Amino acid sequence: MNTQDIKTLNKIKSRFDAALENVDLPADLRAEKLCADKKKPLRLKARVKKSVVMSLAAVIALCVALGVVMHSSGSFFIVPLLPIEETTTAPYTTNGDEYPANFAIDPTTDTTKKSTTNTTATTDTVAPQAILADELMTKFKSRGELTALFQWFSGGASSTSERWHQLREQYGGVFNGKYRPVTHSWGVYAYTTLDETQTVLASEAPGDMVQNAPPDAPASPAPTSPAPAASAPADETRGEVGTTNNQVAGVDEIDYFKNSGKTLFISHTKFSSTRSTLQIRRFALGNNGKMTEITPVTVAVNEDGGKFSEAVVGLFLHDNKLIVVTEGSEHSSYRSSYHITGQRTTIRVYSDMDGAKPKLLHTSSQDGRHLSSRLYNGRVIVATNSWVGFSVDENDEIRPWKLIPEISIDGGKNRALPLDRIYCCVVAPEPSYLVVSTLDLNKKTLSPEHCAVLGAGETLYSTGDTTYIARSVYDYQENDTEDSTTNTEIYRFAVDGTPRFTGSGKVAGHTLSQFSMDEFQGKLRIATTLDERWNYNRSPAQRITKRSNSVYVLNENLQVMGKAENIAPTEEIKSVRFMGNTGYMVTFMQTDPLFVLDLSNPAKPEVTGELKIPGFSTYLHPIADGWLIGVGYPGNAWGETQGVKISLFDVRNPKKPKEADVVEFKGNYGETEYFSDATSDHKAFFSHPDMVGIVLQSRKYTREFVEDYTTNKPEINAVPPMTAIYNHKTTVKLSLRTYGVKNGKLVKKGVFDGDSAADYNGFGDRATYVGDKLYALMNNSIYCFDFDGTRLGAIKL
Amino acid sequence: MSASKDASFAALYERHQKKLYAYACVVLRSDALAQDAVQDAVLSAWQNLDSLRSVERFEGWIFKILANCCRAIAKKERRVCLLEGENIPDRGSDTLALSQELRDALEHLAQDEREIILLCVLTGIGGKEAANALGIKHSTLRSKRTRTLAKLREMLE
Repeated sequence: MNTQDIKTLNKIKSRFDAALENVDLPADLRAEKLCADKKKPLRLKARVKKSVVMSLAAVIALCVALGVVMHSSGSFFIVPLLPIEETTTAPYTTNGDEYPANFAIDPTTDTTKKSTTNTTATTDTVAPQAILADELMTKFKSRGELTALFQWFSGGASSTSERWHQLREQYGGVFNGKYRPVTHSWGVYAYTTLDETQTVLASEAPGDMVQNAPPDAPASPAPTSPAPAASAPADETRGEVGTTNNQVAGVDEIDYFKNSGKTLFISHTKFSSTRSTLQIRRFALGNNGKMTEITPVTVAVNEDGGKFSEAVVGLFLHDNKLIVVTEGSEHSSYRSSYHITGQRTTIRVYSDMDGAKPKLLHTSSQDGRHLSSRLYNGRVIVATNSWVGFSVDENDEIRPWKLIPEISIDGGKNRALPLDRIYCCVVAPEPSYLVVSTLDLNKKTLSPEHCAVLGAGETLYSTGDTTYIARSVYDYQENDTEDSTTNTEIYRFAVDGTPRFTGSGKVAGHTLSQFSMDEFQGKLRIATTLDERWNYNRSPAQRITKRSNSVYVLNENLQVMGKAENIAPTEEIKSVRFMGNTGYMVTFMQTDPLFVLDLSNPAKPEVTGELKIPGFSTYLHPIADGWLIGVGYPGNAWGETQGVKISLFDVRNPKKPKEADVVEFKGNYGETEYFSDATSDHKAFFSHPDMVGIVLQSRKYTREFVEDYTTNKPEINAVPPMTAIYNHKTTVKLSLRTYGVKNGKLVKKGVFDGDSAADYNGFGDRATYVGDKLYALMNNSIYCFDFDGTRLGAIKL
Repeated sequence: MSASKDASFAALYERHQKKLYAYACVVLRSDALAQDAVQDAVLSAWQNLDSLRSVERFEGWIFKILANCCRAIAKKERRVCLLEGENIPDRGSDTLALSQELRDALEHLAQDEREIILLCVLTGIGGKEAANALGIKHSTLRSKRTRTLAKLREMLE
């Protein structure tokens, strides 16, 4: 371009710039409108005049319109409150005249454990119930329990729309007692079961828990060596079989990757344009590392636009049976957006897991989102969180449609859980249930048993016979004279047969993970961090200064019998592990103190030793008496963390823990970075009698010069904001790295590399072994290695 | 669809919204059609957001989509007019407060010439990217640009 051209262009440009300043953008085109709707307003084009053309254009316009609507409902656009569909399943109507059958309980009569179903409530019972409901409501309101419910509602979709604000106000009304039906129906419910629970609790003698512990349980697994319990007995010739890295030996935890010794099982979803197929892919393990895929087990198919869609949570293997747990939710346009329930967890059991055609033996489902599952001695334990379901009808009236969680067995009709299986937790009534089920696979006829408690859970710890579920609650102090704090509520269930709720307790602070809890000789130890993370009256700095950590020991009645408080003020727990009479705890602020706790006197736990090192461990793995492996992040004295760190702790002297050795993968930000899922998921940690390992992900970033704007475009004055274009390239490589321990040092055992790829698709970070072969699932491929690092085979998923 | 993706798309669009509308107004010479075109373009851009390789390329990318939408609408428009047996209506757009002289000059350009000039004056994208946006060769763009600028110079003298 010559100077003359540039001048002309600049001249026109300046005129355009001036004109652009004054452009009055139509309202429909403004970003906030257009990008919020992403929907073309429907209007017939102005240019169409004559009737013949009109019809033609109308067809075009209609097509455009339909297309738009289809897109909008398909993926990104949430249709605001359509008129409610008639909920035929609603057991309850808004006017309060009718009660669902299972609410028909007269609170004045003695509520024994018998449920008086199938009777209709008479009007006589309504009045006292309503009064009670009001009382309960006031209690709830002050506790802020129910507020959480409508916060969930309003947070569930884009809260910017006016409609949501209206809804919010409506809900505010609910909790002020404006809408009686919901409140009193479940007030009644709470009342009747409250009594019941107290009866139940009273009848449970203290120390019952200990009796429930398995004195008669045959050969309870040794606490130190990871037993390959839950899997099918392996072929003798193949030697030992790796299991999921479980917290409690023998209590198998649900995972998407399992190993039977003959076959690898991986849950995998196949997507096509119209459906997604949930499959359990199976890979038969041959000699010399040969892997052959055998017919996958198709668990379910989600059709696009279908009413219900599921996702596999994980699987278990037991006695040649494959157990698949899925979580699903309803998709009817109304329910999916505004109803809290409609979520269901399903258990499927297949026979002949290694064979050519596994057969579906059993299906059962329970309401709620999956919390966690365990398998112990052939008993599958599944816990879900199920919200009380209600909706808003066209008059913005609250309409409850599912007040009691439902279960279904072998495709049968959904039925409400019998009332004598439901408990009310005296500590914290909550508009949701915690549903716990057990399914005994050793029985001839498979039939799950359920129980539920009004409440909710976050973390689950199970010894196999007893399950503890904890959740943090925020105890809000309205008068502000006392500080509001986060506390942990604990629900205990006996799951050694028919599940039973056996009590609840409460400690200060919040837990980190399932490793924060441990039962030993009938006593529960729990480690918490006490802080004010939700107290926005204080600045973040103030919130930190008030932070501290504690370990509590709870007796058989879940009452605190011993505590060690105020450990590592201002820091927070990053990992915990209890082992018999000793506890280990890592906290972090800038450096990583490892605390050793002596718990041999449950009434007086105390910190015996402390070690400060940079970085912190997020997982602690006991390897032998007095030795621990820590996986976490390296750091410097300023508290910055990046990369992956493996530490070997020498804790033989509980007064003087030592970091005996360390392996770090630090990398450089923006060039090479290292990650490992083992830092956040203990199931990604590889454990073998001779070694431990992690799947390490390395990401290399490179850039390639493409074009320089400055040389290509000198003629136009408008200088673009950037002067050159680069192609950014990422190379991702996953490799399993294993270490043994020799003479108090970490010894590298092997590096098992996967192939490089352009990206990590987030699937695959597991490793296991069968005899002398090592199998690793890394970035969507399964690899088989010799223990010396030779790759024997690979299959891309 | 994540909220952050939503928000960043909205922010990117907002940065260019006036220019996009101005482009469509001048190319299609009708406010109503321009509105349709921008709406079509944004909708289609949103649906194909995955094909945007980097945020730096957003401007070139969305103008490419808009250019195509404008062409599609112009084509449809011509067909409708032919069906009606009418001449293509003489229209104008008052959205941009341009001088009558410049307006006339732009009116006298062919559609492809108008597209090139508009991309040059409205956007900050380079020649190569502009050529890509219009689906022509870089060399074609250069020669056409020189010719069009000469024409404009003559008319605006």
